[in-house]
Amino acid sequence: SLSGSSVFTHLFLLRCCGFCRLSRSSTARRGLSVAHEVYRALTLTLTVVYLLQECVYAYQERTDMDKLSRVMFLLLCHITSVAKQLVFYLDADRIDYLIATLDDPSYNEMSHQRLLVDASRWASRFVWAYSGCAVVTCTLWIVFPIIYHVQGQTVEFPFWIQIDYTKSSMFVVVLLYSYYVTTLVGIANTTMDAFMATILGQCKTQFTILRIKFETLPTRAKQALRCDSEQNYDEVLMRLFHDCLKHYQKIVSAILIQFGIGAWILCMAAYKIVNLSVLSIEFASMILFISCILTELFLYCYYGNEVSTESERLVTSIYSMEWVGARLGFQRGLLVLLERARRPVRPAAGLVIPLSLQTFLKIIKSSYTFYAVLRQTK
Amino acid sequence: MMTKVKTQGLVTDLMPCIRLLQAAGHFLFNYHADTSGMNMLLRKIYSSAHAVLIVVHYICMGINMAQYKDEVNELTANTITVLFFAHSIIKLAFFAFNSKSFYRTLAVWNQSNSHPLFTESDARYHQISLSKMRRLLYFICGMTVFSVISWVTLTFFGESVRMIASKETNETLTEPAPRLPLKAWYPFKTMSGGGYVFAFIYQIYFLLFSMALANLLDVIFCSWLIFACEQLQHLKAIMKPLMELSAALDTYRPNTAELFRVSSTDKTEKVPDAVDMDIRGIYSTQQDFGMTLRGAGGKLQNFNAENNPNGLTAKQEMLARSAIKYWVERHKHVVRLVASIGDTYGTALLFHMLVSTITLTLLAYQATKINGINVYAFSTIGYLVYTLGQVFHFCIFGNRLIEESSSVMEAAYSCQWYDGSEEAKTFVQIVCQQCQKAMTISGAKFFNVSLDLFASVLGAVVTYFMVLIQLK
Repeated sequence: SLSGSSVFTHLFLLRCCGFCRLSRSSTARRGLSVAHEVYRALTLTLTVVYLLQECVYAYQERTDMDKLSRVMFLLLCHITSVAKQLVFYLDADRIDYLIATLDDPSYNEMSHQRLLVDASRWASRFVWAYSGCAVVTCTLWIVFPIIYHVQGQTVEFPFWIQIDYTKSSMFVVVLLYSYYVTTLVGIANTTMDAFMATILGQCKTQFTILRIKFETLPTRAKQALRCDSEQNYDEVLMRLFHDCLKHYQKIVSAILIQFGIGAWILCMAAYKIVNLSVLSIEFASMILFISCILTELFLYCYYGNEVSTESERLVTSIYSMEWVGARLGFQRGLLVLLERARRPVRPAAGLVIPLSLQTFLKIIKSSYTFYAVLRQTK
Repeated sequence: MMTKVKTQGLVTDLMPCIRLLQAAGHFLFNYHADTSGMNMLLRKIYSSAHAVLIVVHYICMGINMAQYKDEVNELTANTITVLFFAHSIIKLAFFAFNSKSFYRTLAVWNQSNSHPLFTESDARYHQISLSKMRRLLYFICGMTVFSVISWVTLTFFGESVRMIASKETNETLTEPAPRLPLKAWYPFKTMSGGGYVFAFIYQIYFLLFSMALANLLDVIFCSWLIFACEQLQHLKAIMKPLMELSAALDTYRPNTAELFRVSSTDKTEKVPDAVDMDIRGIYSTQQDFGMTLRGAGGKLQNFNAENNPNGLTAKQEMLARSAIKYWVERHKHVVRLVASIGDTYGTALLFHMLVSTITLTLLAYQATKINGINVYAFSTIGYLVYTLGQVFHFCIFGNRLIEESSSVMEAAYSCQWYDGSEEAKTFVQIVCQQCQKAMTISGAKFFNVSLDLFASVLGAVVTYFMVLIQLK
């Protein structure tokens, strides 16, 4: 279906890397699904093991500020990523249900095909670009160790491993292991963020379609009358109106599926910003890391904001249709709908913090305040 | 010499402002009578020349800032100046890239509906909005000229020096600098002679035109808001006659002559005395008792009509029915206008607030170093007042829009809706639903333009200032 196709690329990437379950319909062979389950469990254990190795290294190097700051940022990123993976692993049923609801016929009306196609094209390009950035960054990170090793200098990997990697063969093995896990984690982070952002973006598109349907309600009723002149104008109007109402109810119930890790991500982002500024780290790396965190935070807040504003515009759209000459019963139906539509849909992280651009500004302001105060007290 | 260009709607009302924008060098090439290729080319060259001159001087100021970046005092002062004039560059570029949406907003009110019964009210409020727009334009132009004059005057007071901290002795030395309004780097010598005069005149030009560029665009935005607010006032004013009109539709035998005289006198309102709880004092006329439209008679009822149940001719009945349609369509038009204004100018407001926030933070720091009534104090306070004034300018009009749009609901409730027809009562309900959420202008969805924004900015400046004073 058209709206389901917007998350197609995300699910493809996630399934290839072993984060998301295969869909029910495609498990034609039991063997394949069992193998995929094993692959998923393996990926999760691998990332957790890497995380533990980093923790041990951080504990060992806790007196050396430079190395500690390098590994702390990676550690925090990996903790966030493992948390997201756990959600996808343990809540796989709810995610499957969410994906299945996207295939509902009322989300995929052919008359609004262009909007849906544009939305899926944009979503797919975005996830390729975002994950591509993560992969490129990870690839660049292994360039330096290779250069140092070729020049004969000592290379130190930021995780605890008991193998001696001064010899080339062991060095290659350890390098590949590190590259594989960091790339996996990078893809996990970015694709999962893009997945949730796309779901929110799809909600926004559905609201836009709903607004267009409301604005054109009387004109569509008149057109239907022209085709089939036996019907009553009022009856046609009421029928189309019910249709729009059901669509609205479905969108609203879809958004209520919350991802509890949204709150976790916001807190981690704020903590990471403050942490980074306090630890001594070189300027270029700090800018890079801060921009990564801000991008992740901005993604959630921007798409949450888009959904809220689009649902707020619903009232204006209903008002701007030609209701002046309609039957009083229809106008009273509009009134009840307007009463409900006046409360905008606000996606919230952990059901408490609303995802909006104001939240984004507040987090940045609070982080800067903490940072300034901490700097003064150092 | 120049044939008058045919304009309509908002363009006619804003023509003086548009001409000033074109004179200041914005890339505004529409609304000319004569659109021959030669003249258009001349106008484009004029605007580009202004843009080039202003950007070149801005870069000179930037070079000066980079030259003296090691001195903390100089750096702060130069940063404030550079940020101050960043508004002009941003607005110039913003208009150049967004001129299509400006033209679209200016064209929103080209066709507006009308109703024979309400033309007088429409014209009256239109006139009020015109006079308010003119007064705003004169005020802002006056303030701009006054700022330039006072800046130039202030240049001739005090020592024209730069504070340099000497590395060896660790004390501040003074280095002589040219007595010019702005500190900038020039490729020629400007301490005295021809170079000094040229630089002085260039700087006066730069001051005047860059301030005009920024302020006039804000004037256009605020004029749009004034227009929208006066339209809402007009809609509120005709709500009462509208209700009376609709009551004529499904009641019996009104006195039509009396009804179609739309009275603009509001003698019936009597504000009750707070001490005197005598309710009879409030309802003092027959109209208030509601006895005129149903039941007991009164001057609006006429029991002498024979055949026509409403006592209206066909034309009068059509007028009555179309009044509600006029009101709703006019309100939808205002909603479209406000949405268009928000889409056009929202991003510019976001940039303005961003730059102003950084400027005000630095100014709070500078203000802690004031140590007496001298040139430094005057210039710092001048910058502060001007920056806060710019923010206040659009906050107050944004706030007025919010208040006007949410008070439409009160006007709808305070008219005699209970005497209206069923259709009128449902109309009041739907309008109240739409008006409960006030129409706001948002800065690209990050914030809403209202006096709350101004209060938070002012509060932040005062807080920074107090904290920095304590830390000194």
